[in-house]
Amino acid sequence: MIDIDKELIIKFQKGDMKSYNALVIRHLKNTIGFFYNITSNQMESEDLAQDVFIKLNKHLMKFNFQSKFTTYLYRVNMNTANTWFKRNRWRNILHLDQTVEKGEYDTLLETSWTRKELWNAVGKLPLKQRQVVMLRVAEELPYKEIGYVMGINFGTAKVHFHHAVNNLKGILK
Amino acid sequence: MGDLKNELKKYHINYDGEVNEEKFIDTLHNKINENKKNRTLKYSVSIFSLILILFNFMRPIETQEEKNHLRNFTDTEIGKYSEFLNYESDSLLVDSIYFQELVETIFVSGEIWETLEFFDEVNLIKEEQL
Repeated sequence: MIDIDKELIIKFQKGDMKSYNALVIRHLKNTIGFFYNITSNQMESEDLAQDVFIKLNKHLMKFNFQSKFTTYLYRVNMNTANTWFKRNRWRNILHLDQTVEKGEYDTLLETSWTRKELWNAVGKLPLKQRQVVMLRVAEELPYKEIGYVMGINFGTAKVHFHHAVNNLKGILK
Repeated sequence: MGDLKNELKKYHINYDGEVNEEKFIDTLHNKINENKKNRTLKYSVSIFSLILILFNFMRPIETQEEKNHLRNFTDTEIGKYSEFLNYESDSLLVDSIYFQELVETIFVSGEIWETLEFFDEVNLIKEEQL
């Protein structure tokens, strides 16, 4: 099977910017979608996606195909989201953003502000747990792939998710 | 609390928002170019700072004594630290030092006959002075 991503990256490494644009367009919607799941804000998601593709433009020159491009992209997405979480935490502390009042979890799970509350809580999780939740919830990846992206085994990914859920319960109480 | 684990798994939004790809690519390239410019500027500033630091390290270090000396240097000390010979020195002694050095220089450069000739000239001058 032809690996289109690989072909585009090779052309880009030879200086073809059109191939890079094609690569961006190929993964644009998924990347924005990943951030939209976390931020619930289209403008912010597009800005974060821009950050991702700026990083890729710099680092893809040295990409040597030891992993799949999508795996690499998940890692860049995760790192960008982690930076966003850190920035967002400070923004909440400084009251630059309106903080949502906490209500009954069960009844309000489906509302958009609970989503915001949920991701604020995810931002407070330890790094590994946060990464597993991001990949599981925002990307819907199976544990096997999560393990591959994070460089851990299938079982460890599952354990991290289990701990993350327990911690989230504590934070959201 | 319900089953948060299962709820979380269902908590995925399939993003179906419209994205203006052309505008996105344009903005992206502007940002990339801006980033490259900033990076070049950063490198230039870093290299310039490094050169300044190296230059500072390579400069001979002035000791505190030297600094104090320069600060307290007065006109009367000019003669004391100058390599020029004092005006009041014995002219014959000065001449003899000059001759000796000249002889050494000619001899070292292998001009033996010239050395001997020069000695003769010196002797002649001395005789005339007497």
